[in-house]
Amino acid sequence: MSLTATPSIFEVHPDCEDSAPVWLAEARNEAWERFTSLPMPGPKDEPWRFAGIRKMALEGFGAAQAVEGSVGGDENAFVFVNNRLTQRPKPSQNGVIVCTISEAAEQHGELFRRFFHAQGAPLGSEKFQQLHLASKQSGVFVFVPRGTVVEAPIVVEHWVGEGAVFPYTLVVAEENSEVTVIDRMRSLDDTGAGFALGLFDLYAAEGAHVHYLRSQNLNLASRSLAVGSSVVGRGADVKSLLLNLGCGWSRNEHVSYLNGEAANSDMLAVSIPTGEQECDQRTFQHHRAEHTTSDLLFKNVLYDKSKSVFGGLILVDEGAHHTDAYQTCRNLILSDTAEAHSMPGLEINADQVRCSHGATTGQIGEEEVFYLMARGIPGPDARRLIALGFALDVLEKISDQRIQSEAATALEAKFADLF
Amino acid sequence: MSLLITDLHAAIDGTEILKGLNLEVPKGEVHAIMGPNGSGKSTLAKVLAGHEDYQVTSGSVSMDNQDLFAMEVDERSRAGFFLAFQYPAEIPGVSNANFLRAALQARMPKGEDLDAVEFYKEMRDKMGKLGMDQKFTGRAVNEGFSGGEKKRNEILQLMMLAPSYAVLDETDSGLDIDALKVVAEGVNTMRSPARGFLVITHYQRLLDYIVPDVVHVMADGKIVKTGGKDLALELEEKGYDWVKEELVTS
Ligand SMILES: Nc1ncnc2c1ncn2[C@@H]1O[C@H](COP(=O)(O)OP(=O)(O)O)[C@@H](O)[C@H]1O
Ligand SMILES: [Mg+2]
Repeated sequence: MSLTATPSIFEVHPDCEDSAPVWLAEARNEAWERFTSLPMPGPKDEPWRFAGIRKMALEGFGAAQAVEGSVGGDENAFVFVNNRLTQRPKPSQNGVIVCTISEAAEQHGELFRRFFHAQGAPLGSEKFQQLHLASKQSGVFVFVPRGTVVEAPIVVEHWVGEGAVFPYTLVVAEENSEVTVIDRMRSLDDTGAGFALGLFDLYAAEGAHVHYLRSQNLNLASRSLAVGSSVVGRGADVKSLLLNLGCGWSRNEHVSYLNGEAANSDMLAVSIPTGEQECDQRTFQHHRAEHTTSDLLFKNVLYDKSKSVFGGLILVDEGAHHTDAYQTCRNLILSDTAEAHSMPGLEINADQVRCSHGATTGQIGEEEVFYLMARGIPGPDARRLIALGFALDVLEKISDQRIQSEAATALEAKFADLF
Repeated sequence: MSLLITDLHAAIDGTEILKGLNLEVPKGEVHAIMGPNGSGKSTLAKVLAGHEDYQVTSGSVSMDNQDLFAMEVDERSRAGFFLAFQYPAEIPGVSNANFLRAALQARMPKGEDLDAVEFYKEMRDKMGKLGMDQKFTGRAVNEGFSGGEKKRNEILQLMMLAPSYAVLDETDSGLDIDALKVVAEGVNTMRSPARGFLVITHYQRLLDYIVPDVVHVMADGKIVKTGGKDLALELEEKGYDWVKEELVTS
């Protein structure tokens, strides 16, 4: 890594923009203090069980530097290259706020501040979350006023070269509004070692609907850590899909808070690690009100010497009666040398709840392969079709067509590259 | 030109199931195999398709003078062999349309792509003929299909892949009379001088609708009797014990 010129993100408080309001500058300084004082998590810490903590060694990473030229991203997207805005789409609908995080801090101070970094990181990455807070973030703030349906999806592309970037997607959907947000994480080239330390917070107030796709396809030299939350109010609903296709090492921590009666959160993920990729995912479904529902389905297709880790917890609070909560992790293993670790979990403190949690690990059924081959499909293609089918099955649960089709295209492209 | 099976012996887990089976299905003809449960009919079908659980211990099968056993499962299909399964597998997540496209794409010359528009048109047309709802294009192959829907789906594949030789294993089981007529009609439209059929059934009923040229009776891993279509009626009337008794006395 040719990062010697750039100070390590672990040693020097990153320069933040001068235009940041005082409250933010102070919050960043405090976060830097907490970041430096918190210990580095290790494999003995429960939230990091089975994690390849070695791969998380970040001392060599400095903040990503500005690059020349453009990347030609999606013209309807906010495009950030190495943590810097390089393109913005046409303005969104009237009344809807869609702007960068720095613009939000400057222009929507009071509103923005209520939601900015408000959720913490209860699943193990507090230290890194503090580093994120201490740094200059890229990404967007989306605020949808009550009753507004945002027609076009809000698309954000993060292009990452060498060094660390700090993407943040903060979505606030007020009462009875609806919005779809798509984040894409991409590498500038095949070799630059990037580190995307990202956050996403999805707030759905009473009766609101939020649809979210995070499609991560960084190069194998890169790492990604995403800390996310879905905060769901009465009768509201957040549906999220995390696609983990790239990165040598990636970890997602996703918390859902079902705060209001009849709130729902769907948490979906598909990961296709190959080679020596490692994909680590920790989740928390916290039911805090009656008649709330959550449905988690994470699928991993593992090739070669890859590794997946899933740790999940459903917690039903006292009084959150009539909760329906499901948590399923399914691993399809295509090689003898891949490893899948699953740690589903459940804690129920209320009555009349329906909860299930479970994990399965299996291989492709020989009868299925035989059936496809008996129709003339060569063995490797048959296996690929079945594995792709296993992954695509998750998309059946998605109601937003645009997310569904983008995810399907990404999965098909991924499998087309596999033997 | 025929599907020619000569002195076929096959075993599963060391138990011999096919015990010297001889049979020839010339192109253009429809042959039926009838036989009691457990006589080895499905074993024959799966051995022909190339299922790896079965060990062929001796004998040969040639399809238009090609050695079937020299080919992999997928090669046999592309060379023109088709088996409609008694118990079709379910393939979660793989849509019927994508599955059929992959099967047809595998038959295209290298570098050529299947015409997607033409493909969908043809598939919808054939589904219409089989009384299949259009929603089956997007549904996962056989997943959650009823018994009858699975059998129709097998015949849809038969119609789309247009093989030279088709073996239908108990395609009538699980079908009510209306579905049976639709499926039989589908098969009948596929009858041609360029195609041979081997229709395996336990009951004579199917043969009222798919009228065979030749009927074979199978018992204990062998063909024990061969005749015209009236043999099926005779079997229905006298039962399989009649063949077994004849076998013992002869
Ligand atoms: N997987 C298997 N393992 C052991 N025996 C089997 C297996 N499959 C079939 N058989 C046996 O082979 C014989 C023939 O079965 P099958 O070919 O299914 O008959 P049919 O289709 O005529 O009813 C039966 O005795 C059955 O029990
Ligand atoms: Mg049978």
